[in-house]
Order: sequence, then structure tokens, then C-alpha cells
Amino acid sequence: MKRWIWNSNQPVDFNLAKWTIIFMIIVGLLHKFIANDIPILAKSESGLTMPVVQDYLYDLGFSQRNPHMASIHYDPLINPIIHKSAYNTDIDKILLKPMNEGHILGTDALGRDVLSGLIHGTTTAVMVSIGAVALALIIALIIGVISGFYYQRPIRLNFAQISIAVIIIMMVLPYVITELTSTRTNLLIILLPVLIGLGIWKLSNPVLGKLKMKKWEVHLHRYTDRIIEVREAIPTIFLILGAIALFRDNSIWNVALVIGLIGWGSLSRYIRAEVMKIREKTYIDAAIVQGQSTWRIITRHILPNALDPLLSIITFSFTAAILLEATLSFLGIGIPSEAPTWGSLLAQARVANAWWLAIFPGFCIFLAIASLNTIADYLQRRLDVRIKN
Amino acid sequence: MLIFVLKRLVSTLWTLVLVMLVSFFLIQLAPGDKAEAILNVQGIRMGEDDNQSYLLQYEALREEYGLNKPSFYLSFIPSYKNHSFPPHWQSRHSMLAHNLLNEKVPFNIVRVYINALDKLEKECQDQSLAFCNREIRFLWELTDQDDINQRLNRIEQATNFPLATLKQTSERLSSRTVLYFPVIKWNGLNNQFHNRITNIIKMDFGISVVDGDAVTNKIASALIWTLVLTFATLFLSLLLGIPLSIYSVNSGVVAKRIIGTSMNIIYATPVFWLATILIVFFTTPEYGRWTDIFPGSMFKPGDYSGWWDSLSNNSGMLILPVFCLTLSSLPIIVRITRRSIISESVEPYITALRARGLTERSIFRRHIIPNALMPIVTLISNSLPSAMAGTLIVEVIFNIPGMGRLMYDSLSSYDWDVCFTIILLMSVVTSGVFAIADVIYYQINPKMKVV
Repeated sequence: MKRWIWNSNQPVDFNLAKWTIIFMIIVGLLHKFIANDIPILAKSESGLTMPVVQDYLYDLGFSQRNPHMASIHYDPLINPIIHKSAYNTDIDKILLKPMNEGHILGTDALGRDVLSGLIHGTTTAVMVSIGAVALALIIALIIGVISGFYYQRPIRLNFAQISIAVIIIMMVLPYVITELTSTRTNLLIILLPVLIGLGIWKLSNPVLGKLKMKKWEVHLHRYTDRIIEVREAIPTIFLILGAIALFRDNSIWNVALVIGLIGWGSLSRYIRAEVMKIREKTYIDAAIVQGQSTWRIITRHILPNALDPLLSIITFSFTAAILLEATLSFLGIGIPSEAPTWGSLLAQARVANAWWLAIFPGFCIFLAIASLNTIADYLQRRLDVRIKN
Repeated sequence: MLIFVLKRLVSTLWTLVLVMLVSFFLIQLAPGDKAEAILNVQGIRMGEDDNQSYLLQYEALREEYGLNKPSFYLSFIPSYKNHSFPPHWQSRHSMLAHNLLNEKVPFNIVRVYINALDKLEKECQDQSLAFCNREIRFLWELTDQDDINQRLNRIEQATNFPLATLKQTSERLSSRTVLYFPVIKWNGLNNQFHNRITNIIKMDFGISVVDGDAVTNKIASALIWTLVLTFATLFLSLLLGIPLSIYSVNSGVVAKRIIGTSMNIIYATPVFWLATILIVFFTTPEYGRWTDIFPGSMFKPGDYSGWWDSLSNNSGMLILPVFCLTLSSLPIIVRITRRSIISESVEPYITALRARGLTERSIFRRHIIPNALMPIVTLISNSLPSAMAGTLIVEVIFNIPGMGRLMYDSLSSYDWDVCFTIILLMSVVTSGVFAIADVIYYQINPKMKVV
């Protein structure tokens, strides 16, 4: 994986795409140093201060003082390159054309600077796509690995084991359901019964397994396949629109959560297929014969070998997440309305009939998607070459 | 064969029941219910003074639509919520109790607090203090301790009621239940989910809260537009995509490069960016006379005598949406067809045909193309559901009254019956198409198994 990405003799388009994505991530993480209306370094009564750093600390919850609200007067020493806030609205300066009054890419319908809005939008895209893909990957791994590993290989359990499993599920499920639907969700109350249930299962299983009873075949993959099928039966965008309506408040984390909880469909099918392929290899049979535990086989033998083929499909799911985030903010759903994003800036173009709002935000989305697609295509090609060799 | 079809049918039905369950609970969890939406459409909102009449109307509507029934056959009630309220409590009492219990406040504290509040209200009404009455109306809706204390302090300043006991109880509202047991309760067949399923079997999908029209009527008129868009797109993209991929396979390096690169660029272009650019630049004369070449995106309102009339009167505005959708689905078709032609042309039987002395032209026309187009059938079956879903954003942008537009509008007006039916219809189409595709596969490869 490292060899693939940091190799020196790679095609030009891949290198371009790679550096575009790295540039976008850096801009997204450091957007306050690049476009902001408060200075990076300033002189105040108490000496030198760094208001932007304080702003970051305030956002992360480490600092109590908001530099935007600070009453202390300071003399700016170093200002960000784009000395405009993405949030500040100005009624006198709505829909300025580019290169007017210091607004390099003009202003939008609320008088906000478009360039700093785009930089802020990069943050939203990076945050939402990373959060959503991480969550989707966790769900897809759980479902895909169970589906692929146990495909047509039922686990054999006797009556006592099945009844203990049913009892545990009946004990744990009510806690999970009541706590998830409660207004005051306490993750500990979900985690604790799950852990206790798993512990009871682990402890009782070896004892109960020795009982001489009739054994039943349990096809785990049937249940997970059904979950995948149900998920795929509802078109993603409709399901996401329905799920976003659950939240009364808008925040980018809600959007990431919903995209992650819903966007695992195709990812899990690829993981399932890949795990199924590796499961047939003889070294897995050898590991089973050695008596290694299922957990160890999955984490040590299957997942490391499945990672390389999955890289390109994971890259594609970043594309899908960015596209979904842009679609949602274009429709004005989910993302807070005061936060400028690529999609919300683009949506203004239609109403305001402003060409700069039509071109630049759309080009940012295009650039991100095109770069990710190029990377994914390249990874796929490298994989095909490796398989042929 | 028959057994396979039956098995596949049962599997599809199972999936649809689970889809119903998922979408039903999605709607149950969403804030606001049908009664609230109906009152909202009628312009009746929680006001400052007529809260009591609002709550009465709300309760009556909930009774009418069966919303106060349990939602499912089983319910998991956490023990901190499993209490029966005293019979003399009115709806405002039980509403506040519900809200406080949802915040995990223990029930004995809730009861003491509500009784104290009730007493205060009676005292206020006896002395007929308008300010106090208004403040107490707010107190019936507050659960946050700081807000409650603020209101109580204001009452204390304005009047000279002894509020010490009430304040003491409100202090205790900050305590929370930590450990609890969930109670599993069997609700019988008279629940909302059961009623909905029986209604669906009777083909009764409910009534839209916005205009009182039957959901089936609304969806039928919207479905026409989506189907026209979808099939026009599919037809045009196949008509363009297949010749383009055949041409790109047979052409020289430069043409291949150009087609490949342009397809990559189109593939990365979000359809809403394309649509916005087309609207901004090509529907107004702002950027020169020649740019005003397409009709605008406005749906002409008016009385149409049926869907065909409204379609033919507005067909001009379908040009841009169909263009956008066709362009966005073109790269996938070109990519799959091209790959299929290339993989077919290295098969051994092509070499055998070449050895027999057939011309390259006739091999390509008679043998490669017919075999390579087989995956296109699968492609159509797979892309039909996603094409229907893909029209959503285009319909919203171009103001076309199709399914996507209907879903978007219904969500913003909390019209849950319409949303539920649209999601159900979409999943019926999707799983139906997948099932038909599976049956076709089975005829080719009878070893296949039903999941």
C-alpha cells in the first residue's frame, strides 16, 4: 500500500490527483489560518496572542473564550492570506462580481466572501466524508465479514447454546432499543449489557458445547444478507432524506452520521465478495485446522489480505460521501444554513443567476470527485496488473 | 424453475416487509406526527393563549387517526417510563410528565413537581393574575431546570407567592435514573403497524395532510413524470452510448484518448452542477442573444385535462433535464459496453472465426457485438431503480412535479403518509427488478441459489 502511493514513477494524472486531495485535506484542516477575519498573530495588552489558535481551541472545547466575541482590543501583526470571514454577512455587498472590493471570487446573495466560503466548504467536505466513510466502513466490515466468512458454512449449535443466545439477545435488545430511541442516550447503558451478554456467551459456550444434544445448523450469512438486501432495496437518496428529517437541529456531524449509517450498502457487498474469495484459500483452512480462533483468523489472515483490493472501493465511497454531502447542502437539508458549503453556494447560483456562484463551487466538487476517481482507477489498474502477474 | 420463482417471490416479500418495518420506524422516530402536521397546515399552532384548545384538537386528531395506539406488536418500555398517571391529570399534566420522564427524571419527583405546579396554577387563577397565568403556561412546557428556575424567579418577583416548596422540588428535577430494567409489553393486534399493513393490503395508503388528496392520486400523477424522465434518459443514453463505445473501440489512439478523457470528466461532474450551469447560462439572454436557447425551468401552472395534456403542454421544459440525466448516465454505459466488447474480442472463438477467413468487419458485426451487448440487459435492469432515484435532484432543480419533487416537498411539510408510500413504491420497483433479473440469470445458470 505504501509502495503504491509513494512510488516515484507514477502516471502524471495520479500524482496530480494525489496532490489535489492532499492539498484539500490541508486546506480543510487549516482553513482558519488561510481565510479568516481575525489575525494569526496579534499584539494585545497582555503581549503577543494568536487568536486563530484560540479559535481552534474554542471549537475543540479546550478554551472558554471565543476570539470572535473577545472584547480585548488587539493590533493585528500577521493576517491570514484571505482576510475575509466566511460567515460575516454584509447587506451592502451582496452579489459582488469577482475581483471587486477585495473579494477575489465575489460575494454571495448574503454578502459573504465566496473564496473563504469555498475554503470553509472544503472543511465540511473533508470532515463529513472522513466521518461518514469511517462509520460506513465499520458497519460494512461487520456485516460483510459475517456474510462472507459464514457463507454456506453454518455454525453448529446445540439446543442449550441456541436458547442461551436467544435469552441473551432478548435481554440486550430492549436496552439497545430503549436507549437509542431515548432523548438522553447514554452510550454506557448500551455498551454495558452488550459486554455482559458477550461475556455470558463466551463463558457458557465451552460448557454448553460439550452437552450431548442434537446439533442445529445456524446460517449466519442469511441474516446479514437479508440486511444488505433490505438496505439496497431503498434508494439511498430517499432513505437519507427520510433519516435527516429525524434531527431537529442541523449540524455537519448529523449529516456525517446519516451518510455513514446509510451509505454502507455497496461497500459491504464488496467486502463480502472479497472475504468469500479469501475464505476459499488453503491457508485459511490450515489456520482452522491449527485451531486458531475465528477472531484471529479474520483479523490476522482475512482482513490484511482483503485490504489492498478494497482500497479502490473505499476511495470510491469517499466520492459518494462528498457527492451526497454536496447534494444535501444543495437541497438545503441537514447542513446548518449559516455555514457556507460547496453545495449551498452552488444552490444560490440558480436563484441569484450569478455565474461566479455557478462555476467556482461546482468546480470544487468536480475537482474533489475527479481526483478521487483518478486515484481509485489507478489503484484498480495496479491491482489488475498484480493479479495477472 | 417454478420452485425457484416461488422462493425468490417469498424472499422479495420478506424484504418488502422489512423495508416497511424500517420506514415505519423511521417515520415514528421523526419529530412531529400526522396530527401536528394537519393542524400546522390549517394554520393552528401552539399559541400564547389558546394552548388548551390546541391540545384538545391535537388529541382529537390523534384519536381519529389512531396515533395514540401502541406503534408495534411489542414495545420495550424502560421501567422509568412505565407508570400510570393519576386519573385527575389533564393532557397538559401528562404531557409534562411524559417530557420529564423522557429526560429520565424519576417518577416520584415528577409527581411531586406536577402537583406543586398544579397548586400554584390554582392559586394564580383564584387571584386572577394575568402575568402569573402566562408564566405558568410556559412552565407546563419546560423541562430544563435552569429555564424553570428563571420563570419561577420572575413569578416570585412579580407576586409574593411562597414558592419555596416548588423551588425545592424543581431542584430535585436534576436527578436522573441511571439503572433501569426494560419492560417488554405485548400490545395485541390493535397497533399502528398492524393497521397500516392491513390498510396497505386493502390498497389504502392514507391521505396527504397538505391538500387532503389520496396518496395514490398524488403519486400516480407524479409517477408519470418520473417514468417519462427515466425512460427518455435510458433510451437516449443507450442510443448515444452504444455507438460511441463501438466507435471508441475501433478508432485510433487519439480518438480513444479524447473519448476516454471526456467520459472521465463527465463522470466526475455532479448532475446538479451541470443543471445549474445550463440554467444560469442557457435560459436567460443575459450573456448574449444566442445564450437564450432553452425554455426556462418553470412548470406552467394551469388546469390540464389529464396527464397527457399537462405533459404535452410542458414538454419543452423536459429538454434540459433529460439532457442532464442522459449525459450523467452516459459514462457508465460507455465504460461497461467498451469493457464487454474488449473482453469478448479476445475470446478463443473469435480467433477460430478469424482462422476460418471471415473478415474483421463481419466478425465484429455478426459475433462480437451481439454477444457483447448481453450485459447491457443486466445494466438496464440494474440502472432502472438508480435512474428513478437519480431524477430526484433534477426534478427539484427544474421544478418538475415528479416523485423526487413530491418526496422533497412532503418531507418539508411532514407529510409522512406520502413519504412512506414513495419509499415503499421505490423499494417494490427495486426489489421487483432485481427479482426479475435473478429469474433471467437462473435460466442462464440454474446452479444459482436464493439467499
